[in-house]
Amino acid sequence: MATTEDQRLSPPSVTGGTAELGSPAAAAEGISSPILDAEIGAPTRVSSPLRDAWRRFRHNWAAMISLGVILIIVIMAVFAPFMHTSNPLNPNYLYLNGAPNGSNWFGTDGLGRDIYSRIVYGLRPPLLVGLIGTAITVIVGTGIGITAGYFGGVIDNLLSRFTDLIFAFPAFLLAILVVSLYGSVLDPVFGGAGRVILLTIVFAGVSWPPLTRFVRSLALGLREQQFVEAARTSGSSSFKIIWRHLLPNIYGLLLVQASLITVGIIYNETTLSIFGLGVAPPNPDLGQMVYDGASQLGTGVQAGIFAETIFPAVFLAVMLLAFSFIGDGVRDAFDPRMNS
Amino acid sequence: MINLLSFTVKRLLATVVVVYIIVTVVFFMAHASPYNPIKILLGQHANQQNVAALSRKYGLNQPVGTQYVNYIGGLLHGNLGYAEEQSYLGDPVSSIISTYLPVTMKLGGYALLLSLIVGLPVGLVSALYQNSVVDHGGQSIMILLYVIPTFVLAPISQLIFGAVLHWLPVSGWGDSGWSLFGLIPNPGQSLQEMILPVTIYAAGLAGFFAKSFRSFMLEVLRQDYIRTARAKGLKSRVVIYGHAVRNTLLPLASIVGPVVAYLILGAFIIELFFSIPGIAYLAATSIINSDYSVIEGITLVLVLFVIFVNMLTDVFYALVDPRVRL
Repeated sequence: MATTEDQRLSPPSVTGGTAELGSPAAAAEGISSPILDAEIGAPTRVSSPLRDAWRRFRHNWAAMISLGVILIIVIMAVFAPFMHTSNPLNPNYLYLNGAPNGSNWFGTDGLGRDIYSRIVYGLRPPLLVGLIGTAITVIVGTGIGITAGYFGGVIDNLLSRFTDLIFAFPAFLLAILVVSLYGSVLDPVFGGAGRVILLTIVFAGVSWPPLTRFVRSLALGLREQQFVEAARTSGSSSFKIIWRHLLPNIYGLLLVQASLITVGIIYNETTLSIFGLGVAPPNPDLGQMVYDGASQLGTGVQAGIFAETIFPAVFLAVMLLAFSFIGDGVRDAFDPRMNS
Repeated sequence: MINLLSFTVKRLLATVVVVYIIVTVVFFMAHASPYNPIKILLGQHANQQNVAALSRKYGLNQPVGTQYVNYIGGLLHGNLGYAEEQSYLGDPVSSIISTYLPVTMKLGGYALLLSLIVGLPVGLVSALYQNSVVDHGGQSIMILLYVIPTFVLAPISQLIFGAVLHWLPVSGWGDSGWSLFGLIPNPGQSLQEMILPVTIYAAGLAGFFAKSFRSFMLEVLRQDYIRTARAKGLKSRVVIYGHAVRNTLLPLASIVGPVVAYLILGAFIIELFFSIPGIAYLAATSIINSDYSVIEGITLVLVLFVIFVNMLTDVFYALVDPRVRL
């Protein structure tokens, strides 16, 4: 650990030197010192908290493998049209609940549809809802939290009460109610993607309160710091202070929260999908597939039923665990003290 | 004591306000939704007169404001509306919910009990033998149980223990032959059908309790008063159970409270996978049959349950920890 501390501490003084020597003025005057440049050349990579965090993250093999897994899953989902082996909606009545074979890698479901192709497409709803929902949640939650924490007073009071109110409402129940009441409202506008958009909005709409509370408490602490005071004294606007001084200080913690929120939203999306409130059938959705498989387990031993239960479940488990590991990795990377 | 009373009253008032706002939101959300309960009741080919007659009967021809007042008034009398689904057409939603709720409560209650019985000792042993093989092994298993999602654990255990090994029924919840006010299952089918769902529900909770209890214990064991107790020569057992465990009860209450509040909601996935006729099953069938009054009723009842238990937890916390009241 001693060497990394040194690396982190030493660059500023060295870079000070480069800036002087390498400045346009110096270059114009023809002043250059090959020896000095060579010496300084190597460590000019200024270490920033972000770069340090990335270096620590890279050495966390569990987090790196998870990142790779998520990348593969995202690529599979994005390029599903090139990844699938047969149309995921096309039934094959000659091969119902079939065992895995050369053309149906993961077997076929109760309607003879290819399970592998359905999984590839079924990855899309949870990933889309999870990632976009998280992005909206983070923007809304951080916006409200940082505003409440930074300004305090009446604004804080109003925003905090509003947050408490949404927080009191169990997110999952609200989602069930909204989706069952308004499930098909967006379908005419967006075609089949209406349900996915609705789910994204609903989960983003109910997931932000915990993040808001967290960000608010961070902002409450940060606004008393001297660098914020200095910025205010030198005439920075509130917006600039928030944007340039508060936000960069909480990026790491936001990333950690974001991975937790993603796990939560994917979990809830899968649950709703099991309730039949996910994307409309026959479109595939991982949760619906697992449930379809499991609900036929009592009917007898058929390879396709086992396959439909196991494979989507494994994909879900791997996806959720990978996001959790990435979250842990990011947390350790930004705050190495937590690890000890 | 005055402090505690004013804290409770304040908390109660806040709860009432939150509940009122939620009820209002649910009402207007349902009102603005594209479905028409009368159309659902009478089907697509209903004639105009019947629609008008039924609308009058249920007060749906009145202005929104009047409907809202009627709705709130009905709620205050425990009237959650009437079912629209064919099998319970016109039955009060509250009575339908009250027939399904006990099953869920039983499932959740047994799971909570089992998870505490397993989770707390594992957490305790882990903390006492910190960084030993027992600690790492126990915690690894517990954390694994905690992180594997229910919708993965449930189908895979159904497959292994039910469909392949035939040790336990794949699904079902034989509610016949329960003794002692229906609390104790009969040894036989009921018990067998209970084992898998209760264990799987308890697995996640036990992992959570074991993980949390370990960290609570470690936190307490670091305290000065534990060192003092040891220094003055108390037996290890007295230090651990008399001093340490006692002081973990407070943080423990703070995590058990929310678990109880979400006990019913947490059972949702389990109920669906194991075809247990509880509240989640009712919700799922109501969703399929577009019985919106039942869905609204379930939402309200469960929201109230969550909010009420959270409030009780807060009050309990204030009761045992005077610092909260300040």
